[in-house]
Amino acid sequence: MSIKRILAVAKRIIRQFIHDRRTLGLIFIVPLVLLSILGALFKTTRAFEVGFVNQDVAVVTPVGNQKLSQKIEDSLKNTDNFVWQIKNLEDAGSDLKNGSLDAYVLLDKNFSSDILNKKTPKLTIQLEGSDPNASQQVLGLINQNLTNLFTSQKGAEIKVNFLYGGEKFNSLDYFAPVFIAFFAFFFVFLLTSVSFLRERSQGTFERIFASPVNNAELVVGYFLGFLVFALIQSLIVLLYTIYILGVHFLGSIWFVFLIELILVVGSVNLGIFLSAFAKNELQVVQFIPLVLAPQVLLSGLLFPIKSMPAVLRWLSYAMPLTYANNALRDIMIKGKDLASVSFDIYILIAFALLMILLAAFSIRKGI
Amino acid sequence: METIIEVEGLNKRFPPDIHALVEFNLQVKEGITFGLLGPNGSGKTTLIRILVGILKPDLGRVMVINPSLHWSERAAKIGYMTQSPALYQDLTVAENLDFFATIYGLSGKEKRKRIGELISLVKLQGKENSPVSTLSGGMRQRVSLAVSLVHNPELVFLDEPTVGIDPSLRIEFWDYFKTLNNEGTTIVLSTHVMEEAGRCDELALLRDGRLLAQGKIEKLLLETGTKNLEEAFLALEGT
Repeated sequence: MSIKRILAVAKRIIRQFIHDRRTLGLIFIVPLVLLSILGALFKTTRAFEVGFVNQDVAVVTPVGNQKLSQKIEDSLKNTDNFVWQIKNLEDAGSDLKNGSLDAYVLLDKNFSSDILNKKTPKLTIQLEGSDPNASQQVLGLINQNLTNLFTSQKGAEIKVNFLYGGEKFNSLDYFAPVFIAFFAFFFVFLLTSVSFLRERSQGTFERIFASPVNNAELVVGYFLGFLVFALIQSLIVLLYTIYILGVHFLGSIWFVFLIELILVVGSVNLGIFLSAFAKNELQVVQFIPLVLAPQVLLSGLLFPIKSMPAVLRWLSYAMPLTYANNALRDIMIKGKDLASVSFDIYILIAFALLMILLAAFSIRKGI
Repeated sequence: METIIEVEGLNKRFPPDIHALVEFNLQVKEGITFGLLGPNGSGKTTLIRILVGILKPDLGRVMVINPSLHWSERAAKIGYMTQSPALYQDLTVAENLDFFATIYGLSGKEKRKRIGELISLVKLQGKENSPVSTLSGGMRQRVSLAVSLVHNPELVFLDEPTVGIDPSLRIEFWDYFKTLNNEGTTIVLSTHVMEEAGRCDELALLRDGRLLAQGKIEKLLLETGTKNLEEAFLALEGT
């Protein structure tokens, strides 16, 4: 292998991209725009309109006439993300129907007397219900509040500890690592496929294959050329997510780069392999739903693998992004070292080797 | 003169039903301009692609330059101008030349000097930094020729090299081919233009993947009892 020829191929690819401003924008700007949108989506929590209907009648206690429901009312009023509206039952019902309320909480008129008589007091939560996600959030917030209230009544203390992450971690912290892997994999795969297809259709491969450049030099040159852009992209994405979007990052940036490097080897060679089966750019784009969409859905990028049905879980284990995501989350969120993610690294290396083999067999197809 | 190319019993099929080369034999002496003359589909490009090493024959013996050379050493001594310009459209003229010069082992001052010479040869001074995509078809053809000569090859294959080039530049190209021959470079070019074929030192006449005849033009005319190449071709076709 000639290092000079490898570097010539890599330099040519870098030059081609430098001339192609739009593609540079696609590689460097689009991930930041998408991450910013995701960040905004994850950080925005909706405020729910909740009605409060307190029909409880005060009872006589040793300290005078009292509504025993008052503590519940006071506590619920302090729930985050709730806008409380004191209502009568009729208004609450019609507001729920016309959409101005998401839910209402009804305290029965016998609430205090039931407590006094050691009966079970009635608290009704009426949900609008058409948005299951909103219903669950409202229920969750009310339950959490009531649990806190009742445990504090009994003098219990709830202590929450985090093994990883912390109270300040949010969904973006969880998603940022996997998007770093996804962007690198996606853009490198797409651009390699298109570049190789162009080499075939423009006839430049004819010239290269008639020259002293061998298959290995061509593939390594391609890999190095794309690696430069993939690493710059990761650095930009990392810095942007850490310093602009405020994502928490506990691991080593070098570990992130190493995972990315292995992933890019696989991605470049997958692009080379599949480009042999495409006749034009449109056919390359057709590989996106075939190769990338399943990985978006099944690699743990959006949905946790543990909660998938068994069949899909097994499919997810066949996808390289699953292991890259796992390793990057462990490194970035849990601050783990390379030894702790060695299994994921071995699988990524195996995937890269398999792709190199397939690329080597297909590289001269159609020449 | 030594034989630089020798082909015996060459066969190449493209499934399902194209027989591109049939029992093809050829000898090319070094230092001459050798023309492959034949209509489209006669097997000229297939023969060139086998000789430059990017296509494998189904059957037959092929010797190019020296049989004891490693393929990469042989490739370094060969220049190849494809039928379509085959250039990186988004790179400039100089960047295309720079890339191909580097993969053929040129570097530093030698590389810069050679690129300058070739840009002058193909009359593209002032266009060095223009992206190839902005050039006319004829200009691209000139860049393509320059790329195939960038490493001073011993043997150059030119597939229809003068298509799209204006007549005055075509004459200059032919003068340059003669200069290259005088320096010891062998040129094998394909053409379907009789006037161009007439400028070659030797010719091979091809039809449907078969060699109709090979030799100097005078010899071909004498053997066929004709006055020009066109008549000779028709006479050989009928046999």
